[in-house]
Amino acid sequence: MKSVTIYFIAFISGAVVMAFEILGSRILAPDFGTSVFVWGSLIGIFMAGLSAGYFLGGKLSDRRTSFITLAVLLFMSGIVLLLFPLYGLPVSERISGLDLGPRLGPFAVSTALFFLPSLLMGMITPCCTRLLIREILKVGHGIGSLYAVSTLGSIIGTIGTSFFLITWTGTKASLLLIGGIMIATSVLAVLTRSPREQGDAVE
Amino acid sequence: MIRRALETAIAFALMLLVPASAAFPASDETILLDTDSVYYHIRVFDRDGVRYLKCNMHPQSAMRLVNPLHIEYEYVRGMISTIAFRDTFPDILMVGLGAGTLPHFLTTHYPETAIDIVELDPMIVDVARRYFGFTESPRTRIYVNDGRIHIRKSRKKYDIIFLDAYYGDSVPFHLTTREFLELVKQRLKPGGIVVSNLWAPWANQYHDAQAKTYQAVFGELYLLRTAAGNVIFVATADKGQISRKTILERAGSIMARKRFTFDLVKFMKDYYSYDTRTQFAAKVLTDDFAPVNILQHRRSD
Repeated sequence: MKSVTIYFIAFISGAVVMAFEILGSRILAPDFGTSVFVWGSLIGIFMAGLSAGYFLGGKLSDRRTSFITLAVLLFMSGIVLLLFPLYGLPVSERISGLDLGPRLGPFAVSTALFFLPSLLMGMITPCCTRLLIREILKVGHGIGSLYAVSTLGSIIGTIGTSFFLITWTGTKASLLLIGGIMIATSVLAVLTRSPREQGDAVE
Repeated sequence: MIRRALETAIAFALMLLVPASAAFPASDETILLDTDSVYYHIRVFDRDGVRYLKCNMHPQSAMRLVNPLHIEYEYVRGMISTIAFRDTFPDILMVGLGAGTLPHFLTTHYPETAIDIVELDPMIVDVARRYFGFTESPRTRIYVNDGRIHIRKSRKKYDIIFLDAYYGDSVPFHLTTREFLELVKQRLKPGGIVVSNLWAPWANQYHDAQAKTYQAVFGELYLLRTAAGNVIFVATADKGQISRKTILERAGSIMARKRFTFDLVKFMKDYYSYDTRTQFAAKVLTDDFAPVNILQHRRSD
């Protein structure tokens, strides 16, 4: 069922973005410590990226709404996560070398590493909403649950990562895991599209 | 139905009382400060002539009011005792201030020693000044910063580096890893030692992993297991065991020259242990993977 897939995608992207945020604190600690400014920057930048993503995602979904759009967003997010181990440390070391101070340092590195990825992941939710509306017009179910499902994903991503994932395996392996999950979900989105959807415009 | 509601209300009230009772002081305690910093809950109180500092309700430091040089806690005596591993120590670094009892002791008995202290929480510095008589001087300097960031930027080298940034239950993982200890090793003068305090009242996997990490980075490792439950880690960059005999001789000559308020010789006699080649069933802690909080709660294999 298409609407089940949409819920699932919202759940996964909610979980992965929060998992990434928790892993972010482990990534920043060696160069920036675990001060309140690190936590504040991390939470603030993720929220900024997500809200920018919601806005841009809304604009995008006004023009294109399809499972292919979702697949592309999921795939790009996954690639960013898979590549993160390559650029995360070098960027962190470079910015910490600039010695910007206890507040600006964590803020700058959080922006550099996490703003665009969380923006990308934030775009997924409004696209899910738009697709779900289209499905509802056909099938007639309620919509309120989408945000609940996405938030449930965020809860599981937060608790699951901080309580369990970081005690099972290292940061790099965790990033590869959640990146892989996003890629797999993007494949699912491609498989869910109906044949007439290629290049579909919104109705 | 009413009975059910009553039972629930009573159970709920009892639940609230139990944690609440922890917040009420014993009748012989005088609370001087009870507040929250950005990082911890801080409580300063007097009991039986001793002033205590508790962070997150975990005992951190204690100072006897009539004689601040009398060291109350065994782990602080343990850290002080490690001076027997060095002939001289003009430059010392301390990560984690607590109440400042250790720097006060060392600078009083060894006025030629310069101590740099790094403390993350500015309120702890304030509390140490206000309630425990901590003062700065050209020879005792305090830096408010994360310990690792300071050590990375500073480039100064030291004879002894004390690591005691483990407040309460919580251990900051980025101060336990192989990468951090490699950095610390670079800040040691030739023959310098790293001394750290670990709370391990029972054998746990964090203790083992930390020991293994020290073994991977440093030439020699000594674990002084105190009766109180603290383990004092002493590590040297170079190879070459400093024998029990040498330590006891040095401790003896220190006690002969200085009037310490505790028996350094007895401490080393009881606790000296050479552990460079002790096998620990654990993984070296790294920046990528150091789940220290869960390891603390797992018994050793």
